Amino acid sequence: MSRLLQERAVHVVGIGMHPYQFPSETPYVHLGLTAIREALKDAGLQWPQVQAAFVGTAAIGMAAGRVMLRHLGSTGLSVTQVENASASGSSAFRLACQAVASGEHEIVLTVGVDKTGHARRASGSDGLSTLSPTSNLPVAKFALLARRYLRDGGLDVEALARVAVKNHGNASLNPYAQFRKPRTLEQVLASPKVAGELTVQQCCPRGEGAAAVIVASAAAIARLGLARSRSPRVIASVSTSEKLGRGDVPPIVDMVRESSLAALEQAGIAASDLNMVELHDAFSIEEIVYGEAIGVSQPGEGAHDLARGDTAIGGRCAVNASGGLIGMGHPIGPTGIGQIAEITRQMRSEATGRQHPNTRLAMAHMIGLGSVAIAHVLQKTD
Amino acid sequence: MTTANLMPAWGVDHLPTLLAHCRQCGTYTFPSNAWGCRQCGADTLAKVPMPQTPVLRNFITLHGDVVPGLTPPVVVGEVEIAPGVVEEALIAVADESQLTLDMPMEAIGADPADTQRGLRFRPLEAQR
Repeated sequence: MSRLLQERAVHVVGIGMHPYQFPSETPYVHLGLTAIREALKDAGLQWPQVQAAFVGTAAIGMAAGRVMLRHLGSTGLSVTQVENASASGSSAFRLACQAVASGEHEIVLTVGVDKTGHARRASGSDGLSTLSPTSNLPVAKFALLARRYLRDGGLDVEALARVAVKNHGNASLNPYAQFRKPRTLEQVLASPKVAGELTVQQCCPRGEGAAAVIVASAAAIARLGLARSRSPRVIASVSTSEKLGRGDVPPIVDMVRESSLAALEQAGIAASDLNMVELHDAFSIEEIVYGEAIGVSQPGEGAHDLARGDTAIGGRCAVNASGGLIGMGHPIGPTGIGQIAEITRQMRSEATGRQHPNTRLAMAHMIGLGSVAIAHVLQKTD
Repeated sequence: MTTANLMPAWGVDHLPTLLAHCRQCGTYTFPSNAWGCRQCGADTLAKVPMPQTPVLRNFITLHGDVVPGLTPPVVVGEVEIAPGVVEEALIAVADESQLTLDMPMEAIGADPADTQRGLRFRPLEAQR
């Protein structure tokens, strides 16, 4: 993919969202179409100009794409549904980038849309049993990771809770976020405990919503007179999966480190060049350990950097300026595409109320059950 | 702490064949009926017991009601059951105060009669 992205530039030309929200009776078609129509308007494109669509969803069911997209007009475009757990949207975005970078298409839509409650996990159908009924339960896994991190670093529970304080604060400034209330450290710590040191307010909510991103080739931007300066370029796209553990490093952390390193190498930059990162903070501990794995913080320094404000909006590298999964929400299919929309908004200086200054290089990083990792690097276009 | 209808597959009578040992690369895989070696993918696996005394590597208490049939609070640990094989397991103690890192453990049935057909771990008798 690295050669393709260098040879044929891929740009984000349009973004749209349906706000993430608590489960409701709203049909998924309404959620998805709201995001798509907003993205088309943002890009200044008409639906017939879109040549292919990749639909990221984990819980809606088979053939969600055409059922939704036919309400925009039956143009005969290519439609592909993508499921990759929490990374469904990120994987759909990656395929959209590949479709443009390969030269097959010039204008491609990627949309993530999901309703909560209907997803089934393959881990329950592999014919094998685990030792514990918690073995496939993310909150237990990450509570164990949190315990280990706090113990190794000699840190107290406030180190974790500050992630939630920051991200609920960022989300309170984001009109698309599921949670819109800032939380104090005391409130986060006093919310009910779920597992280990993790309290409810340190865990992402269940929800629904939609996010849409339209990518286009540089040639299409020029030919159609689209706003190039509002169209960040995708300069890296990486997809990996978990390997066996080595020593004391949890395999999932190794996976994040390797995938982000590969993305940085592909982009030709260092982690210290990143102004902004959107990452998978379904549980507070994830933001700290993944921030270290990506290189935003030195090993063991993630909690200290957070406490100093280095990862806040206006800090050295804003992490989850959107509010992240904890604050903005995690409707699964849309989440990774929502990250791209947030980065694009920030690079355009259109993130009113939560603008991180001078965002030129940013990474969107997602993991999915299993585990898989998808990393993208975007660069502001002048 | 109570359990009901949980994970019926592994009982104490399965302890002699809990793990798979790869005849090709020597890696241990859990469970023993895995579809291939997690390291090299070979399907030449032999069913073997735990090759070591299990060791507790980490633990937490599950406070929320997040698993149907599992009534909190429940102690959950990461137990090393073979070299390089660390599995989440239910720990049969009243609370975390009875646990220390790296303590040797023993596998027991889900209840004294093993009628629930699930494995738990508890500190080795000598450690309690």
